Amino acid sequence: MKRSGAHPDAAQLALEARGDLGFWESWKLRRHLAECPSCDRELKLYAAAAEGLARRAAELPADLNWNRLAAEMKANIRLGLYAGEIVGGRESAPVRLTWRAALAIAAVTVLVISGWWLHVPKPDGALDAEPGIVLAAGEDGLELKEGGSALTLRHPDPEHVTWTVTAGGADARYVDAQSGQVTINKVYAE
Amino acid sequence: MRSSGLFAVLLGGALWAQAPAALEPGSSLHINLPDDSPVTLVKADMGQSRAEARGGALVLDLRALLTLRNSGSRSIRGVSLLVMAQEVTPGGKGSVTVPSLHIRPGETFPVRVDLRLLRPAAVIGGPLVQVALDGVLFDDLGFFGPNRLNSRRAMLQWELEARRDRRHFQAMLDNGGIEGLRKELLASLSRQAERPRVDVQVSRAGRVTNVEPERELRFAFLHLPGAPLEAVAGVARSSGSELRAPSIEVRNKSDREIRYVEMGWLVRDRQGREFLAGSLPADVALRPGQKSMVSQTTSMKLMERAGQPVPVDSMTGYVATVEFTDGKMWLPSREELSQPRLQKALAPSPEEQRLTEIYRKKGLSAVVDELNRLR
Repeated sequence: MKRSGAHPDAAQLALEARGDLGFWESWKLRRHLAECPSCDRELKLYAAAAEGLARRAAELPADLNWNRLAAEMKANIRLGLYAGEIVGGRESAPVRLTWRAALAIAAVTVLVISGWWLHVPKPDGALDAEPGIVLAAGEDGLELKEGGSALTLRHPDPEHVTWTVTAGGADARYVDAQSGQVTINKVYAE
Repeated sequence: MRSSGLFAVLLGGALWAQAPAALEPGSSLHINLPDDSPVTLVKADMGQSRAEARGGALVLDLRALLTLRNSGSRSIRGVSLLVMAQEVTPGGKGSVTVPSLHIRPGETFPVRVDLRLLRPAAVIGGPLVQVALDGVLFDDLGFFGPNRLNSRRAMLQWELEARRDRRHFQAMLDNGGIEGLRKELLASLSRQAERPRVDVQVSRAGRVTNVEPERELRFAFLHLPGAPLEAVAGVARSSGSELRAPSIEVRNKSDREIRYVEMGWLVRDRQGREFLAGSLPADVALRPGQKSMVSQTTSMKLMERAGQPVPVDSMTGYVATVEFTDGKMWLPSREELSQPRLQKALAPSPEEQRLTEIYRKKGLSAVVDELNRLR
């Protein structure tokens, strides 16, 4: 089957999975995904990982004590006011920002916000993880996935691999090019 | 000027902070071999392995080449390693097995562990992947190891298949000479190339999709005259390219008690192509003449390499492996496997795959040397 262009790298897939890729890049990537099941699977894995992380991030620690947190915040505010009174006599001249400094601050702010946007997980209902444990045997290898996690045992030469599915798992068999030994990978979902 | 410098520093810092955080792949893998293990770790080459946190996910690309030494007193025929990834799935695990070995005491051999792990980056602590010994099979068919993955049975089966297939190729060489062997190797390579392949997805959670209505599909069975077991009847639920809940009734027609059965499962699509969809293994306790059901609850979806579903038209079962209570095994003979339908659909044994690969890469004389070495 004809595929549109080279495979996207991991960073592009991760950005697309979170909806953070630019419009044009996203459009190009979507075209590729429509014809490339392996990249499509990869994208779904990233999306599932983000969703899993969001779920974990949403859970508050079991031993969180709100009263204690409030008391600590009040104490910190009082300490700050007290320290301000001690050094209150010295007034410094107001700092004038040059246009270069303003530009630098604006640029850094954009970078920091984009970094935060990239790294902080957010719920994404567009691409849901498949329920339960799923085993997949394909040209990329044997994949065992559940929710936001996946383990893939890879075989180096998809053209010369044979695989079999059984009740509890799937196995893939290939001859290692360097050692000439048969290697059998297996994943279990028991 | 000073604000430009500050800008450059802050810009560099911000870009550095957004780059994927590289982790040490070596510390991501823990290899655990028991003190009395007949194999010891000589070296773990991590090659191009890398681990990094990227966009809320942690990605481990492990390309490890382990060098193991036979530190026991018996020749080794197979080694199976258990691969566990922390918190990937409850109970989910993998294994890497190397059968068809001929490793004498003191010799070393490589085992490749090539895997990819993806999981939320928030889960931290401990090595990401643990590798442990599950079993070692010796030339006298003795076994060492915890056998948590039933690797004893699998390695014994592969070893018996290897002996059967070596005998077959040795007979070709003895009776038909070099040309007879070449013909047989070429026929095997041709079958391997023509064997239809599909991608398979298995779900424990029942149906993978529910677009098309389900129907009941009956198994037909291939008769293998030497099999100690016969299949009586069988059905599975089918909808489009999805197969679910296969169930086969079997009867012990031998005079020995059977403790394990594996039924092979062939599927024909609407274009008439037939391929091996999988197998149905089951632990049983079947005395002579007794019947039992072999069944699964999982759901299986068949797809072309391009992701297109493969609509299922009919199914055929056959007896693939039987283990008796005394530990002895029955496997189909080469003659039984030469039925055209089985020959087209079944994968070659690991040993046949190894011998044909030697022929493909090193030529006929290398295969002759190998067959003579292992007589």
